[in-house]
Amino acid sequence: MNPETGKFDYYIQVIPGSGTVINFGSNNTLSGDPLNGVVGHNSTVNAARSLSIGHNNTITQDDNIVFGTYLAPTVQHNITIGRGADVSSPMVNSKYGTVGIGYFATVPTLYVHSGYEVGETYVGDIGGVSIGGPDLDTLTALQLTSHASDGSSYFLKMKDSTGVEYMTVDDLGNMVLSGVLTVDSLVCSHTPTIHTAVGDTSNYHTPNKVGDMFIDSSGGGVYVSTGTARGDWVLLNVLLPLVFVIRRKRKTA
Amino acid sequence: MKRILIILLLSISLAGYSQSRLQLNPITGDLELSANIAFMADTLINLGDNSPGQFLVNSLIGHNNSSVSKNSMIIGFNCSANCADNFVMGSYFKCSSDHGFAISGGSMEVSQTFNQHGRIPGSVGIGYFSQRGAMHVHSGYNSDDTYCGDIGGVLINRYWTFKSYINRYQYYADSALALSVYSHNVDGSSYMMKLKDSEGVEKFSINDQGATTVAGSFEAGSVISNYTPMVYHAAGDTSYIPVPVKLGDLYIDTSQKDVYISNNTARGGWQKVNE
Repeated sequence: MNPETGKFDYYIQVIPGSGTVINFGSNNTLSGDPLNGVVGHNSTVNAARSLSIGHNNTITQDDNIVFGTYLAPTVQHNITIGRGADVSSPMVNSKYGTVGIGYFATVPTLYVHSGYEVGETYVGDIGGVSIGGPDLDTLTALQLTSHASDGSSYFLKMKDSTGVEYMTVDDLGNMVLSGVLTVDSLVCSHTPTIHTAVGDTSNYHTPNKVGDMFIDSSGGGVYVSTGTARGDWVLLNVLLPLVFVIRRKRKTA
Repeated sequence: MKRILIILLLSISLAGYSQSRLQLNPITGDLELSANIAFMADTLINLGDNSPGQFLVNSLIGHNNSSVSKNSMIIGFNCSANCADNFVMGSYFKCSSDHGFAISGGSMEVSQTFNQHGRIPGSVGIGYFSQRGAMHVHSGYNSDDTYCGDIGGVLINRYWTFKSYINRYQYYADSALALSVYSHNVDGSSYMMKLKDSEGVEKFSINDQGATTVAGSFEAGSVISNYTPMVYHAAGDTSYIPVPVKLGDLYIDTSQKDVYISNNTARGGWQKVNE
C-alpha cells in the first residue's frame, strides 16, 4: 500500500540481464537463473525453473516450486506446500523428486514420492506415500511412522461413518480388529495350526511348533504336538480297534 | 517515464480483458512489462512467458505454459491445460480430462509430456516424475466420470481400466473406499503398506501378495482360517451340535466340561478328548 495515496500500487523489480523472471511483491530476491519467479514477499529464489508463491520462502536448488510460508527445500526437483514453524525454522523438504506437504512443521508430514527408490533415482509412473517418517522404503506403496514408541500413539485407525473404531494399530504394532479376519493361514507361536491328512497313522508330519494339532481325517485320531521333532504328536482320543468294536456289537446283539 | 509506462500498462491489465507479461525487449535487452489483450475473453491473468488461450477465466503464472481451456489455472513451468476446470501447480504437466487438480513435477531431461493420460476427474492428483499421480484425493468415490461431493477417498498408485468411449486407459479409485492402496508388483517383492515406529523398527507390513505381519499382539472378533481352530461352546449340549465347520475345530460343552475336537465335518464328527 502506498502510504501517501493510501492505495495499492504495483511494485515491480526488473532484473536486467537475466532470463524472463516474475517478481510480484516486495523484498524479494531473484537470481539471474532462467525461468524463476516470486509472487509474495520476503522470498529468495536463487535457482532455475523455480517459483515461490507465498512469503519468506527460500529456494536455492533448481526445479523447485513452493507454495506457502517459511519453506526451504534443500534438494532439486521438489514441490513443497505448507508452512514452516517460523523464519528461523523453515519447513525443509530434502527428499528428491517428492511433493512434500505439512504445516507448522520443520519437515513435511506427508511425502508423495515418484517411484520408490530411496535417493535420486525414480521409477516411472508409480510411486509411494510416506507419512510422518524418513525415506520411503524401496518398493513400498504406503509407509506410516508413528509419533511415539510406547503404545501411546497409533499408526492407523479405521472408523465407520459414526466414529466407531473397527481397526487400530498402535505404535507397538498391536492390532485390534473388531470384525472377522479371514486369512489363508495364521502364523503365530501362540496359536495352534491345524494339520490334516487322510489315513496317516505314522504321526506324520513333523510338528512346526508345540501345541499344533494333527487330525487323521481317515482314522479319526486327534493329536497335539508336544515338541517339534518327528513323532512328537500325542493322541488325545482313544481309538478302538475295528475288530474290538465289531465283537462288542455282536456280544451286545 | 518508463516506470510510469510500466505501471500504466499493468493497471490496464488489472482492469480486465487483458493480460500482462514480462518479456525481453530484443532491442534494449531489458525486461519489460507488456499487455497482451485477449479480445472476447473474460479476465485473464498471464504472468510470465506463456501462451494463453481465448477462453473464459484462465490464468497462467510462470513460464512456457499454455492453456486453451476455460476456468483453468497453471502455476509453474512447461505445463499445458487443454481441458476445462483444471488447476495445475508444477511442471511438465499435460491434462487429458476436465475437472482435475494436479500437483505434479517433472524434468526437462526425462520428458516434457508427462501426465498425458490417466487423469482422474474430480480428484487432486499428486506426484513427481510420474505420468500419473502417485496419490489421488477423490471427491466422492464413484469409479466413473462422476463424483459425489462431500465424502471421498484416497487412491495410492494405479488402478486402470479401459474406457472404450474415449479409447483410453483411465485410472480410477474403487467405489466406496476411503483408502485404496495398490502395490507395485504381485510377486511378493513389494509392499502395500509398512508401519514403522519412530526408530524405524517395522511393526506391521502387508506385502503385495497380502501376507501380513504384525509385530505386536493381535485381537480380532474371530479368525476364519482353514488352519486355525475355531472354538464353539454351549451348555448341556450332548448331541454334538453344531456340525463341525472344519477339521480341528474345538467344541466345549460348558455344562459337562467336556472338550471335543472335530475329526470329521459330518454331524457328530466330534471326538471327545478328555477322560
